[in-house]
Formats: sequence, C-alpha cells, structure tokens
Amino acid sequence: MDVVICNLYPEVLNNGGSQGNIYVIEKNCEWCGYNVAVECIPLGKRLSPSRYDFIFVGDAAPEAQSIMIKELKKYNGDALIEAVETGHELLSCGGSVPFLGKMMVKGEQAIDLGIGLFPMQVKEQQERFVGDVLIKEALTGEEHWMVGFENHNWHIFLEDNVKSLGKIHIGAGNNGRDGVEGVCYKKAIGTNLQGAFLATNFWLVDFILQRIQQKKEITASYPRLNRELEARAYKDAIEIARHRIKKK
Amino acid sequence: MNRDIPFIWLAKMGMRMSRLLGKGVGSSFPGMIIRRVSPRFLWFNAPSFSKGVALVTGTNGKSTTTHMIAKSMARSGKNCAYNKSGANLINGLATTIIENMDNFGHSKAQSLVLEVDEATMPQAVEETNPCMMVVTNIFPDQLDRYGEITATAGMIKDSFYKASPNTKVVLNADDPLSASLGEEIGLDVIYYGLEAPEIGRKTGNSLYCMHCGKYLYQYKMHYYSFLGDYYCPYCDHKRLLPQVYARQIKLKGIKGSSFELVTPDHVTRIDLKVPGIYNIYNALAATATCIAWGIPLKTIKQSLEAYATVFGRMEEIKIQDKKLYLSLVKNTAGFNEALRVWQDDNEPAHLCIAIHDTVADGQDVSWLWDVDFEGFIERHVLKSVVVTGHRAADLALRLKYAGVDYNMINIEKDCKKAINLSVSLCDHNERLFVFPNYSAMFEVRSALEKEGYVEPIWEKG
Repeated sequence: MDVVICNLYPEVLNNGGSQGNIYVIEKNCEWCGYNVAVECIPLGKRLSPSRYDFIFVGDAAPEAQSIMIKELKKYNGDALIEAVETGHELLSCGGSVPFLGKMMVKGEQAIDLGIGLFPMQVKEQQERFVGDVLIKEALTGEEHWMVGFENHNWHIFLEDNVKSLGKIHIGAGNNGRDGVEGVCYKKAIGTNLQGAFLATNFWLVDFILQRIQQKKEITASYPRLNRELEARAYKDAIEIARHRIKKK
Repeated sequence: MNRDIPFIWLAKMGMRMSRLLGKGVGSSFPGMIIRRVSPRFLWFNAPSFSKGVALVTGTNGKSTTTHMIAKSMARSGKNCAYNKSGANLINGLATTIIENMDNFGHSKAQSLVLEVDEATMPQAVEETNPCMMVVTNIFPDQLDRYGEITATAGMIKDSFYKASPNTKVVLNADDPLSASLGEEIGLDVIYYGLEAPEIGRKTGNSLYCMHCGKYLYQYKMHYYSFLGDYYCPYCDHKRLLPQVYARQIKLKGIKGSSFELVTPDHVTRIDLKVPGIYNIYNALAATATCIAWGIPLKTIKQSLEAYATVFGRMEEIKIQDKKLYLSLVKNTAGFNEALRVWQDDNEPAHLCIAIHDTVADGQDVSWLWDVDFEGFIERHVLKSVVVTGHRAADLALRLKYAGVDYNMINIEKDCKKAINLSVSLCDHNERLFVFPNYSAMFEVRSALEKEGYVEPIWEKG
C-alpha cells in the first residue's frame, strides 16, 4: 500500500515537538510495510487535497494565528475543507486548532474568522491551562485513555452536536468547563495536546492507519507491531499524570 | 555598621549546618533565613560592592558567562563574588552575598556577578541596582512555567525599565528576540555576535518579525536555533551590527575552538578550551561585559583562555582508563548544541540520558522530539544505551523513533543505578556520553561523588 502524507507548513507549524507526530506516522507506516512519502507544503504553495491519505497540521505559536488565517484564506483553506468533506484523514494539534475553527474572539472582540473546518468558536482568555491531561476517548469505541500535556489560553466552544475527542479526567481540555477535550469532525481530529502525543498514545496511530487502510479498501489485516516501549511510556505517563494531580 | 550583623551570623550558621547535614549544598537556605528576618537585605547590602553588580540572565549559558566574567574580574585584581552553585532565585542571590561577608557584615569582594533566573530578573534589578545586565539568549524552555517564549522576554524587558539610567545592557545581536529587548529602553546597549559564515548553516528555526509580525525572518546565515544573521523580507527589520564579535572561527570538537575576537579598539586571537559555538557566544557576552566594566582586553584574553568548565558543562571525568563526558541539557537548543560538539567525531561511544520532569526541569518533555538524535545516531556507533529519570520510558521511545534498535535500550528509572550501569557497560579506553537535565544532573553527580570519581560541587572553585 502507498501512503502519501501532507505536512502542512512545517516551517511555521513546528512548535514544541509537534513535528514528532510526523516521524511517528511515517515510521509506523514503514513498520506496517507500506510505502510512505511525506510531502511538506511550504507557505505560498497550493496543495491538492485528493493526493493525500493523511494531512498533518502541527502546533503553532500564538503570533502565527492571524498570519495562518490569511495564508489559508489565500491558498489552502478551501483545499483542507474539501479534503475533510470528502473523507480524508486530518490531524491538527495545539495552536493550529484555533485557526481551523470558525470564529476567534479576543476579549469581547471578534479578531478573525477562522477557516471554519472545525465547527467551533474560539476565545482567547486570560486564564491559561497548563498541565497534564488525561481523557477517556470517544473516537474508537474502545474507550482508551489518552494522555498528554496542555498549555493554552485559547478556550474552545464546540457547536451543538459536534463530537469531542473524549471526556476529561485530568486537566482542563477545551475550556475548563464543558469537561471535554478536542474536536472530531468527519475524519478530522483536533486536540489541545502538545508535542508528539501520537508516540505515547499508540492506539491512535493504529486507529488512523486502519482507517486509511479501510478507505483504500485494502483487505489485508493490520500487522501486529512490537509495542513494548510504547506500552511502558503510555503506562508511565498515565501514572505521572495521576500522581501529579493528587499532589495538587 | 551593618544593621544585619546578627542575621548574617544566623544565616552563616544555617549555611554550615545545612552543609554538615548534607541537605543540598546550602545554596539558598541561608538566603531564605536572612530575607525572612531582614526583607531588604539585598537592597541594603548590594551597594557594599564598590565596583558594582552585574546580573546575567537568559535561557542557556548563564552559569558559564557568569563564571567567565567573575574570573576576568578576579584576574584584573578585583575580588569578585558570584553564585558558583548556580542558585539563581532571589534567596540564592542573597546566599551569595552572605557567603562573601566577614563576620562584621563587610563584603570581602569589590564586585558581584550573579546569574539570575529570567522570572526573578525584575525583583533582582530592583533589589541589587546593577550597573550591568547581560542577556545570553532566549529559547523555548520551561514553557509550562512561563506560558510562552514572548512572556519570558517580557519579564526581562520589565526588569530593564526598573534599572537606573546609567546601567549598561549587553545583548546578543544574533538572537532576534533578545536583541529586540534593547529597543526604547533608554539605556546604553552593547551588542555581541558572530561574523562567521564558515560555521554557518543554511537552515534552522525562525521567528516572526519582531517589528511587523507579518513574516518569518529569513536568514543569510544560521548558527543555531534562532541565532544567526536575520532579516525580515517585508519590513526590512534586520540584525544589528555587533560591537563585539567573533570571526574566522575554527571549531575543534571537544578540544574547544579558536577565533578572532574583535572589539571596538582591538583585534586578538582567542583559543578557548571549552567546546562549541555556544561557548563562543558565552565568551563574547563575558568580553562585552568586562570591557564595559573597564577590564583590559589582555586580562580578558588570559582569563578566557585559562577558562575550564563549570561542573556538568561538558565536564570530562576520568574513571580509570574510561572517559565520561557530563553535559547538562535543559532544552532543545542546548541538547542540539551539546550533540553538535561531537559532530566531527565518529568514534564509538556509550550513551546515557537522564530526564526528570520536576517543576525546575519543566513538567512537559515534548521538547525531546525536537532534538536531532537522528543526526547523532547516524554518525556514531552506539555501544550501549541507558535511559533514566522519571521520563526514561519517553526517552526510550524517542530513541526508538530516532533509529536506535529498541532491544539495546536499557530503561533504569533510578539515575544513580543508571549511571553505575552505564559505567560498568563501558570497557577499557571507551567513552561514555552522559546528558542529564537539571535535577537529574544532581543525582548523576552525587552518584559519581559517592564512587569517588568527582569532587563535591561546593568544594570546586
């Protein structure tokens, strides 16, 4: 199977280790025996949505928000929406989730209209959420724990009937009040988690790759990979999150 | 007559007690005592240093730059007090002053150089009224504490506004974020940097323009992380020319470097024993400060060339016929540069990495994914790999993705056991590279002390 991955604007969307998720997807494709190609889309270049099996949108610095919105409105916003509407996989994390939403508000003022890929509003607030996150995911139907770290003062409000990634057990998640974290729309996933969270949450890698396999109508079974180290890091991270919340 | 004399005695007793009891190295406890009983201690006693106070802050290189300035000062014949232990929060600064006072509350030194935590800068400036302030660089580090990198810069900028008008500021011209701190502060600014295309790189990280905010900086030359010769393609904002700079640089791996040091009045060749581009930057920051402080260039040169490492900064430790290199790594920029020291050396090596996630380290370890382990592993045959610390399993996973065979990765969460394991895996005449982060460093070092391989930290000059 050939898998083509799009890494959107890596020169900007490279905050806090988030590009590690690209290595994780790429390596796992290799370990599954797929032919994998990662194509980087730099600023100012157009992407053709039908070409990609998986689109990755990395973590952005706060000062990149309005610049990214302008860039996407000029070039690739419509292409990203088309890709998601036609059932392509997309993963957005950290500071790229806000500009993929509909409306961004600073204080009481609307500062920018996001590109509207995720049906949600975003407010920049004084209150910053920093710390461990542990959620029970509602994406795969298997209720895995998803563990990671958040550091954001964008508060996300999902529109009615929009699915989140899961229920918060530790941490603030979207806005510290709704009790949920992230957003799922069609096959697009957005999460506030930082860094290379795919490495630890390896069930999510398997889920994404299996969905790609299904879409390509490959009937071969998904290979069993050695997950010893992954399982250990996953278990440790969950323990650390639980231990630190107790100390608070 | 110093009004704090009884308190100083009390604090000095506390210092001896905590050392006797082996509770830490007593590097901030005495300061805590004295600030409790005499809250204005720093404010009253900092002026007793007749030549003045210099504060050094920034993400990486604070300790080394502080030591370099202090050694030049001492060599010029002026006694100089500085926070050797690296305790850089407000109580640690007070401890340094107490250590350097006699029993009558007179300071034994004429000048004081302090490395200061970025968030402590505003308070430190207010309480010590420095004549010099130095910023080494500002990189993403401990963002769970500061929020964003611009917030770190904001705290340092705030501290500049609290300084008296004759204070001089020393800034890195090659770092867009810290260089921008020099604008509109109404103080004299001295910039330092590199003019060294021979060691430059074509690619690296970039930031949005500090002036227009519209475009990423383009670089004519990248040195490391955000450091380089940058310009904005939109508004023409560009790197300022440094008054103190290094050119014709020759990097000699672990053996150090050699470069031509250019100051407004002189040009001279410097041979540094400490390795890496980051130490050239530290030497430049120290030189710019020392010149402004009136130390002759000849003295600065002698002092820099004699300079050997601060503990744990690429410290070479001999264990029988094995060699251990201990190198503190706190963030991506620092780790990448520590690895880069070995770039032209492809002899086999043993590897031990120790990462904790305490508040002092940063609770989020995502930054490990931005470290170029891939490049390091490509160039070196690894004879053994041990990962340790609270985040040993995350490290193991990071290395697996970087291409290390996962069967050869030993996970040992206890730092002391891990370092002993690594040393035992190391054969005759072989080398062991040890990279701990901040709090893991103390555990690694205390294990090495226990085995008698190194001396305790506070006994080192």
